[in-house]
Parts: sequence; structure tokens; C-alpha cells
Amino acid sequence: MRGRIRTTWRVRAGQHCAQLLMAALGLEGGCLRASCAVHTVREDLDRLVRGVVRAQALLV
Amino acid sequence: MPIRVDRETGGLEARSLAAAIETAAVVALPHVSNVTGASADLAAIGASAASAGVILVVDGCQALSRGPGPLPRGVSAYAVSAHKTYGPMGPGRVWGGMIREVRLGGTRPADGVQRFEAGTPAMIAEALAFAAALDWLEGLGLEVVLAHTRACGEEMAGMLDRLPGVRRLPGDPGSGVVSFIV
Repeated sequence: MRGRIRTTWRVRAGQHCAQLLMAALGLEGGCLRASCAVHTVREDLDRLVRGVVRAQALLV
Repeated sequence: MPIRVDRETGGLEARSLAAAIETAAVVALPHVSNVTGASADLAAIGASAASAGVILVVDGCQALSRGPGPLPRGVSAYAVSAHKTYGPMGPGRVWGGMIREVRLGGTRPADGVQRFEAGTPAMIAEALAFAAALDWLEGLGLEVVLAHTRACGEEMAGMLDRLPGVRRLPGDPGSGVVSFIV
């Protein structure tokens, strides 16, 4: 998109400063977190999905 | 004593929350979870805290950019950070601050907005940047921001739900926060 800064998703991995919550949910290894905000657009969401699919192919 | 998590909603579990308010001297909780996005019903919790005479400390960092609304009765202190509101890293703010009078029998907070003023701010430039970020956010219109974040978060959750091998944590994607495992 013209004039818009191209965003790269950096999903945060880990326990998100919430080890007790992770333990309560049975996720001691943590989880991924993606947040959207006022500047997020549909294209960003598509890119997130592509990134997750690519990560699955590489890592899972 | 811990307030437990409700595994269905990703929010605060009602019974342990009620028990904490009944027995603890200070109860601390997040307004919006940074992991699940679940919101606490501050009006109801504040009312219980006020009638139990408990000090209620609320982490509002995730809530501020989503329009936390007026602070309900019973909230003793409400903390926010600039960097979760499109502002700079570093500063934050605690509502519930300045004291008018301190005596052995108890303290009285300052009147009106003065009670929200901390002593001497350490980071003037960052505080001004924080104020500019809040002005910008207010200029956009909190209801616009909220609607955008809600639509975006729910769409993101739907897209992730359609991916095989991805499991979302319980919570409120409408907050804009979606946690998941792959």
C-alpha cells in the first residue's frame, strides 16, 4: 500500500510475563501472541496467516 | 492468595476473585489481560472492593488504548504505561496518587485532578510524548479505535481458527490480542 510503512509481524513467543496463567492453562512452554492495533490492515492479517503456515512447514 | 483463571473465558475466575476480595488487604488484577485479552468487570469488582474495604490495584496497561472509561468507585490505584498506548518506552502513570493530608489515623487524597499528580516527574520529554500519543489517540476517536481493533482482532481469530494445527487460547479476540499455539 502506497505511503504506508510495510509492517512485519513479530509475534511474541513465550510466557508473556504470565507464568502462572500459562501453568493454569497447561502451557508451560508458552504460546504465541499476535496483537492488532489501530494501524493493522487486512493485508497484515494475510501476512500473519502466511507466516504461521510457513513456520508450520519449517518447524512442525 | 492467587486469583485463578477461568479456563473457558481466559478471564478471572469468579469464586477465587470473590474470596480474595473478602479476605485480602490488597487485591491486584489486570483490567484487560495481556495474554488472553479478557476484560475484568471493574464496575462490579470495584463495588465489591469498596464494600469489603479492600485496596484494589488495577493494571490498566492493556486497557488504556481501548478506552477504559471513567474509573469506577472502589478502584484505589490504576496503572498505565505509555508504550502500550503508542507512546514512548519508559513512562507510565498511576492514578490514585497525590495526598492532601497524612495523619496517623489515615490519609486524605488531594481534591479533583490533583490527586492524580505524582510528585516530581523523572521523564519530562517522555511524559510529553506520552501526552502527545494520548492526544493523537483521542483525536482519532476512541470509539473508532475500539471498533477497528475489535473487527481486526475477531477477523484475525477467525483466520487462525481456520488454520489446521493452530489452537487459540481462551480469551477475547475483540481486544485485539490473540494468543495461540502451533
